[in-house]
Amino acid sequence: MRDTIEALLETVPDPLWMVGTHFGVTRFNPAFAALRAKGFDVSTEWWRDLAGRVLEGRSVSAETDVVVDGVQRTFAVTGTPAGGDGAVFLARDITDTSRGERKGEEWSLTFDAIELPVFITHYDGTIARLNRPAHDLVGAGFGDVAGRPIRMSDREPWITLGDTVSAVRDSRTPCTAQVAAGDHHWDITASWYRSAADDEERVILALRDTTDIMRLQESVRRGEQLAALGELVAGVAHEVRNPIFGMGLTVDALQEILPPDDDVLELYGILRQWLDRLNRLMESLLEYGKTWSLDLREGTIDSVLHSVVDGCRQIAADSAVVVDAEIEPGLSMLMDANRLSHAFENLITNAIQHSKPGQHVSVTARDAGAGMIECAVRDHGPGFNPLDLPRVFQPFFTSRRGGTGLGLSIVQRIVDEHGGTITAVNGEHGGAVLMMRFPMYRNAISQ
Amino acid sequence: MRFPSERRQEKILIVDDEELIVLAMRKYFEGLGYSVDSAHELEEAQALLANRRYDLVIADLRLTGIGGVEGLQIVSDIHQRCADTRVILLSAYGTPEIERESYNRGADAFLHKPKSMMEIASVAVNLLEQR
Repeated sequence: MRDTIEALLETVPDPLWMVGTHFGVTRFNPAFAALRAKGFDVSTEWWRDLAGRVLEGRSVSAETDVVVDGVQRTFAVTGTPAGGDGAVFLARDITDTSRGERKGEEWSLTFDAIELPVFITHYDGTIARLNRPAHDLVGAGFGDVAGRPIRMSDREPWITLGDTVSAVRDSRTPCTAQVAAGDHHWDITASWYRSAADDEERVILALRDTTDIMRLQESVRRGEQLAALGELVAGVAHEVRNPIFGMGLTVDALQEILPPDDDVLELYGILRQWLDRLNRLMESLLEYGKTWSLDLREGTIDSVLHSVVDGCRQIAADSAVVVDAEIEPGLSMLMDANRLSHAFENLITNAIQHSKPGQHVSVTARDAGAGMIECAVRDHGPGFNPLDLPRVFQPFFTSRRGGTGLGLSIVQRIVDEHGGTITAVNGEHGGAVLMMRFPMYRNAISQ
Repeated sequence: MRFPSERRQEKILIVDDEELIVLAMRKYFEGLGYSVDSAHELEEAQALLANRRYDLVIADLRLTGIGGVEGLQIVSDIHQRCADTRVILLSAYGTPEIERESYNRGADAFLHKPKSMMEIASVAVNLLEQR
């Protein structure tokens, strides 16, 4: 019930409010708030009487004249018991509707005014009535659906809707269900009632599109998981660093004490390489798990990129790789220059490490239109295994021996913090391409 | 690394709550000919410092649980008692603020772990030679 009320509060355009067991208004939608601000008063004796009847468990409908903004208006009011939650009231301004039309259209207007798809079925599951949003949901493909089973096809959401009707019928209690149909997620709430017109029992089903909420929840969950993971890895890295340090010192002390012999020295070298690798891993883990406070300022991408490219020239020269930079000047964005440099450094170093001597790594930045800056780091190395592409930003994913698998995760996080996106693809002529897009910063004065 | 023999009678105090780290450092510096004492906690270090004069103290910043900065106390004590004792602080967790504070209190070097024994020893020897 609560879910249905939430859904109604969010979607119904007419004034809708809830009254608690002490006659006070407990929940309301913006339309009710606007009306109340103009003088719509629901604390009068008349309203208390009406609420009293609904709180006793009866559904009521009534008309009342109310002065709103100094003008008398007529409202059609329906009150529905909401179990332990109190009573739900819906008001519709019918001043401009002629009295004759009101009776006939009143119900269907109210029914259609609800933006949620609502189906009313007979107890055998055939559709008795549906509102306009429900028609839209069904689509044109099924023709006139009144009289047909709600399980219109062996696809969702129709299977679950059919099952929900059965569940309500068998249990005689309200039921809820969640269903995914294509890209959409729906919350279904269903309850039964006895029709006052023909004394027949019916099931009423309301669907709420929860696709956006689900997406949001998923992204929040991902964020929380990453934050928790970050905290954990940073904690582990902290604690592991000291024992590694102790091992290093012990190896050093051993080497000082034992006589230098070629085999022994070689073995020390191997031990040190392992320790170096562990240390690198711990440093990456600490970096990954760190919580940063960003220092965002206006800056140009060329200032950052040129200094990073210059800083990478030595590593490139050591590997006999050439770094080409084609960077449009003056592209301004909000940035934490240190963090952004770190991300580019990581990408360019990666590209160099995956290149053969003589190959070129290209770094580009350009105005991509639509207020976006596009930056790319391309190499001519082996590129990504196409099967790996969906996973390259996952922590600990690595295809390079000795790599920590955290570099690209850290880069992604930094790009994300700058409101940007990063994608990894293989270039048309081979090689890996890391493509980033950042929102351009436009200073109001300079424009 | 080998050092001139006249340096080897100098006294070093190593303070670290990790017994195994103390042991490795002690072996190493004794191997170089230094006379080495060690302590695992602040009070033990303070007691040794009250009774004996050291040429160099190598202390870990953190001697107890998370967030400890006992090494800073050792630096202050030494600075007050005997100005010609050199102090090296080692830390795996040091922030720039703590590093600044260490120098303010009179530390001669602040080393971020991990460091190799040779790196620590070369800082130590330089400090001892500068005295």
